[in-house]
This record gives sequence, C-alpha cells and structure tokens, in this order.
Amino acid sequence: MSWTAVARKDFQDARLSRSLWLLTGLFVLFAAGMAWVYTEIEALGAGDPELTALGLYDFLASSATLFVSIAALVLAYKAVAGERDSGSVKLLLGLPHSRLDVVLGKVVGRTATLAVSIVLGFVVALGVIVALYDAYSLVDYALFVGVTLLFALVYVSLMVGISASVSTSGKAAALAFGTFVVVELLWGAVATAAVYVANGFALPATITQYPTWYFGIVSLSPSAAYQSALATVLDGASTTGEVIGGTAEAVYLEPWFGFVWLALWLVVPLAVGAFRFNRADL
Amino acid sequence: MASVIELTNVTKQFGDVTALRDVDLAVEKGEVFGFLGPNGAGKSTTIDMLLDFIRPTGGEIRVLGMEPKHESVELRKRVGILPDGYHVYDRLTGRQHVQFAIDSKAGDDDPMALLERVGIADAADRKAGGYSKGMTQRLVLAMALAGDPDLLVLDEPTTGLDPAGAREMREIIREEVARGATVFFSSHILEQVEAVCDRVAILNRGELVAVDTIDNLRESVGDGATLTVTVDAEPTAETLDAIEALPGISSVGVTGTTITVHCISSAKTAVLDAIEATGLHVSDFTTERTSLEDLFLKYTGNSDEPAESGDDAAEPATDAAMEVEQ
Repeated sequence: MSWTAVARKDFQDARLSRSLWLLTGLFVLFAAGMAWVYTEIEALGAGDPELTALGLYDFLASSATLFVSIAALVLAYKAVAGERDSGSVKLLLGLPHSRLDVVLGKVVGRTATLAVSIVLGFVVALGVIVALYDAYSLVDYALFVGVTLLFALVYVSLMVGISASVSTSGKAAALAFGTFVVVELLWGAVATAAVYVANGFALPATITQYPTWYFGIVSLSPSAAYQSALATVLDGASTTGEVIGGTAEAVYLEPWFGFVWLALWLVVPLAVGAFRFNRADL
Repeated sequence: MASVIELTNVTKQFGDVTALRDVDLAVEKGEVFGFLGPNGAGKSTTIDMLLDFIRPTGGEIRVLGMEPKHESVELRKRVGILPDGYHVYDRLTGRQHVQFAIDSKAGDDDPMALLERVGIADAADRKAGGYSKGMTQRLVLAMALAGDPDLLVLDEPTTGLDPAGAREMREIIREEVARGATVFFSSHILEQVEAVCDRVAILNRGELVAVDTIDNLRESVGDGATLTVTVDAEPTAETLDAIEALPGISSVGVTGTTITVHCISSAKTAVLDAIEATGLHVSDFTTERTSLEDLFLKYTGNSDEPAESGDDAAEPATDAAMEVEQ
C-alpha cells in the first residue's frame, strides 16, 4: 500500500503549517491552564480526591473538543481540494498512488500532525497535574489521551472526507465550516427542531416527555460521542445521556455507543469523499 | 510489439464542449514522439487521460498495454510524468520532493544523483516554494526520472527554461531513449519538437490533423513552393485541369485572374508552360518556399484567430491533413 508514502510526505508538509503551531501554542496554554484552574476550584470545595480527578477530565475534555475540532478543520479542509486547486495533485497522482491511497494517506498524515500537538498539550498539562495533585492515575490519563487521539482521527477523517468530495478550496472551506457550525454549535437546536417537527410542530411541555431518540440525536454528534466514549473508559465520569435524560432507555444511549458513533463519523464521510474523488476529473 | 501508447477514437467532452474528437494515435516503443499544437488544442487533455487524471467520454486508451482507468496504479509505476499546470509543495525541499517520488515508486534511487542530473543539486535543501519556474521544472523532471520509467510523458517541458535549459532537457530526453524509454513530449513550439522527435502528431482544436516523421513532413514541404501566377484573363477549367494533371502538384486555387499553385520546386516551369499552352498569357508570377513552420501554421490555422471560433475555422485544417496524406 502506498498510502504510507503519502502520509509521510503529508506529515512533513503539514507540520510546517504556521496556523497549526499557533493553535498548538494556544492548546498547550489552555490544557495547562485548565489543569491549574481546576486545582483552584477544588480548593474551594473540599472533596473526595478521586472524584475531583474525574472532574478534571471533564475540564480537559471540553478544551480538547474545541481545540481538536477547530485544529482538524484548519489542518485538513484543504487536504485534497487544495491540491486540486493548486495542481499539486498532478504531482501526487502522477506517482503510483490510487486515489484511495491519497485520501487515506492524508487522513493518517494530518492525524499524526495533530497528534503531535495534542500530546504536547497533554504532556504539559500532566506536568501541572503532577505538580499540583496528590492523587492521580497515569493509566486513566493515558486512556484519556488515547480517546482524545481517536477523536482527532475521527475529526480529521471527517474534514478530509469533506475536502475530497469537492473540487476547490473555497467549496471545501464553506462545507467544512458549515459542518463544524452545525455539528458543534447548533446540534442541540437540530435535535430540538427534529422533535418539534415530529411532534406536530410543537414542543413537549417538559424534557422528560421528549422521545428517547431525541437523546440519541444529541449524543451522536462527534463531540458528544467523544465524551460518551471517555465516560466508558474513565468509569464514572459524567455522560451526555445521563446528564440530560436520566437512565439509558435504548442501546444507543449507552456510553459505549459513543464508540459506534465515532466509528460512523470516521468511516461514512470519508467513504463519500473517496467515492466522489475517485470519479472526479482533476 | 504492441504500441506504448494507443488511442482509438478517443473523445473527451467537458459539458457540451468537445475538447478532443475521435483521436487515433499510436506511439511505438523507443520513439521520441512530439505532440504539437497551439495552446488549447487539447494536448494536456490527451495527456491527462493517459495518466487517468481525467477519463475519456468515448473511445479506448491503452498505455503500456494497460487501460489507464482500470490499471492506473500499475501503469503509473512505469511512467514518469512532467505535467502541465502543476504546483510543487512550497514547504518541502527539492530533496524531499524527489525522495517522495522515489518512495512512491518503491525505488532505491539516490535523490542527489537525480537532482545532479537535472542540474539543481546545489538547491537540494532549499524549500521548493522559493525555486524559480525553471528550477521547479527541473525538479519535477527529476521526480519523473525516478525509477527509470518505461514511458516519459512531458507536457510542455521547456516552459520556463532558458535556451541552455531547453538544450539540457533535450539531452536528458536522448539519454532516456538510449536507455530504452519511450518519450511522449508535447509542445506548442515547433523547433523544440523538431530538434529531438522522431515523429510528430499535430493537434488542432481537438482533432488530429497530421501524424508523420519530421523527415517526411520536411520532405513534403522541403522542396515545396507556392507559385502565384497572374494571367491576362480568367482561367478556365481547362487551364486548371492541365495544371492539376502535372506531376508534383499538391493544390491549385484561383482568385480572379490569380492562380495559386502549391507544388514541388521543379514543377514550376511546367506549370507556367501549361498555362501558356491553354492560351493565357502570364503577366506576372512569384514563388515562395514553404517551411516546416508554414506547414505547422497551415495545419493549425492562423494563430491570431481566437481558439473559440469553432467548427468553421477547423475545416481548413482538416483539408490540409487530407492533402498531406496524398
């Protein structure tokens, strides 16, 4: 498989992106800052040390969600469309790579690039934790970083899929940003609108009367799925489903189902993008 | 031995614009094949189809015996391409580019040796974003040479090169052919093709108007002349028939009392004699030698015409092709 050569080339290229290093700097500050702020909050309300460590992951996860989604967008929306725009795709595909190899290589190369930033941020945050906390679990921390890297892979794959499905950077930017706004910022409204329509253009009086599938929709966005997945591996951390809707009434509200949603986000947009790219005239 | 490149009835439409129409072409192993035509004639469209960048809307393509659409990767393992309208990776160095090409072909060439060969070894560790057009062109040529390809496809390879660079490019082409490669080389400049190519195809407005060896093309015009004769009365069909019956005449035309004859040089006197023999008096005549450049211009129409002027303008070129085949 020649995607490894594409991935290596792409990693060499993308890691030199200035905007990525700017975002990484911000993330390092943010992650370390979150770890520090959390010790301050913990000092206010004295509590069980283990529980507070779990709360710390909620804090770190929220900063990671924001960083990963934005960084993946910036890093990957031009991955394929940008090469078609500039014509460098003719160098790339003049060499013996299939178009699928190009798309997969891009996903791996850019995920590796983003992973460097994520690991850097969390290593610094770990420094803060080690310095300020009495009790912490390195295993939990490693699991947390691992799931976050998976989330980064999913987001990069989504953005590369978008990039592969259109012919110019401009279209890719519009589609990538639109997708980000809808799945990250407006997702609650989308779920509510679905209930509103299904309920005959009226909302149920209280949230307890909302249909179960409403919580399913809420929990399928990439970042909600990431938090569910985290809750699965870090036993006891809060989950979207439990926070909003009480006990899980359907299999798709189980925290582990977050991994299924992540898998779908990983595969489906990329498959659509690869299919469209494969059929395109360059 | 099957042809290295074989196009059969290849047509490509972009929406309702026909970029290429019913092109038939065969390039044999070990040839340097020149693909000539003005800008916008469809040269890059053809090349893009050889490499599966775009797909034909009709007809069949075989390159090294393979179908680009279905055996694209296998095919590109054996082809080196210098495309048109490409862009390099600004943030990567020249060496990284060439290394990427070598890795992609799973080869073990030395990137420095390739850069040396195209004359930019001293810039190997500079970012390609800072290269001049000519250096970029050399860099991409080095990438194309990686892995000793069986077929080199060069789309306007001398773009951005100074005369010395163009000569080095021709030397590399000769070296590659000596090694056993086939070279398919497009250009809109006749001289560059003339200097290295065994055979040429001339493409105009999406149609192939001539395929021949440089020598044959030269022969068809080398001794050729245009004879313009002014006579004292309108020539009759009898006069024209008499001229056409002579050996060495390729075409005869009349405007008022002026007869224009394309013929071999040695036929000129016979033409004048034939005109006089039908009772007309020659009041004046001029002769002009035809060059290869004239021939190219004749095939591709007046270069001042806009390329979009459509089918009408393509007609004379088709006529010209028929003349040459005779």
